[in-house]
Amino acid sequence: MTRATKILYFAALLIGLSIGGFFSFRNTTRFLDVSHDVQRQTAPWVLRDFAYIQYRNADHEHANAALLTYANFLEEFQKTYPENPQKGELAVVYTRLALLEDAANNQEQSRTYMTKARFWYSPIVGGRELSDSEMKFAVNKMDARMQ
Amino acid sequence: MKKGRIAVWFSVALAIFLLSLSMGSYLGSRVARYWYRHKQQTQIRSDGPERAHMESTLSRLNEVQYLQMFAATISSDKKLGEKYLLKNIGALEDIERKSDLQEIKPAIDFNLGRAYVYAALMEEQAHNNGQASRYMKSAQNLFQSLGWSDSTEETLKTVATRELDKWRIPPQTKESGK
Repeated sequence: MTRATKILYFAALLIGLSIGGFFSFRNTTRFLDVSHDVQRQTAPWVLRDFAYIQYRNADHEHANAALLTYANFLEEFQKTYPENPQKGELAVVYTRLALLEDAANNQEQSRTYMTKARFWYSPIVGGRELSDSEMKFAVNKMDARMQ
Repeated sequence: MKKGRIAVWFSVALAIFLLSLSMGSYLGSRVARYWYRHKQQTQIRSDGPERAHMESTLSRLNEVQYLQMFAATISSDKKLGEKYLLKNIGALEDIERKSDLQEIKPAIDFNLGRAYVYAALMEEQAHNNGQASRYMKSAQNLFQSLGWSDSTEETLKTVATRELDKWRIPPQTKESGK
């Protein structure tokens, strides 16, 4: 094997490794980034679906616990990832909590939850205040459509 | 003669190039995964325990979601269901047992209960009524522990069927296959 062939083979090896490695590294990191973003968006759906089904089917105590767990999770999630706002979802969850308290005749607690619901909802509609009954009506209508 | 030798050199060089391209591609992907995981862990550690807790919750929820989607999808196919549904239940039971995240435990129980209902429906179709009622009983116990006042077979089947319908692939007609 001459010196020229050795150089040729070595160059082929080096160029092949570099090109393969570079593109594969770039594509894999892009894929992992996208995959992580998608998982971050969809993982909370487990709690969302659970909280909703509990709200529809479980007793007051368990439904309340599931909705509160979801609300606390969303607040933490929003704090950790401010780029993924959960304001609308939080408004809906707190309204459901208020509706649950209405059903149990706990008016004081219901008002507390509606204050939180309005807090999360107002930024979405440009600060326009919605009445408690308007918000409850909207959530009830949405839930009826989901049935 | 010389031309022939040059052609051999270039053929060998091309073969080396293609082989190293594929080797580089494999190594690049491995290095990227390692580097990404390391970067993530460093980031999580530097952001403190709250971020670490959130990431671990998300990761657990992700596993549950994947298993739930998988269970719903395979349940609509008899052969796949028989083969994988029990493994899927086993995996959910493992997560439920190991879970250190108490706040999401009821959500895991709920998904496990739903998987038991899928298994009961599958066994019922295969006329294994004894096994079907054992799965249904396990599901009912879980749903009762989740505060369901109505955890009758009919209600649980309705909830499970509604979820299964979301994932059911409509049978292909001859017209749509054309």
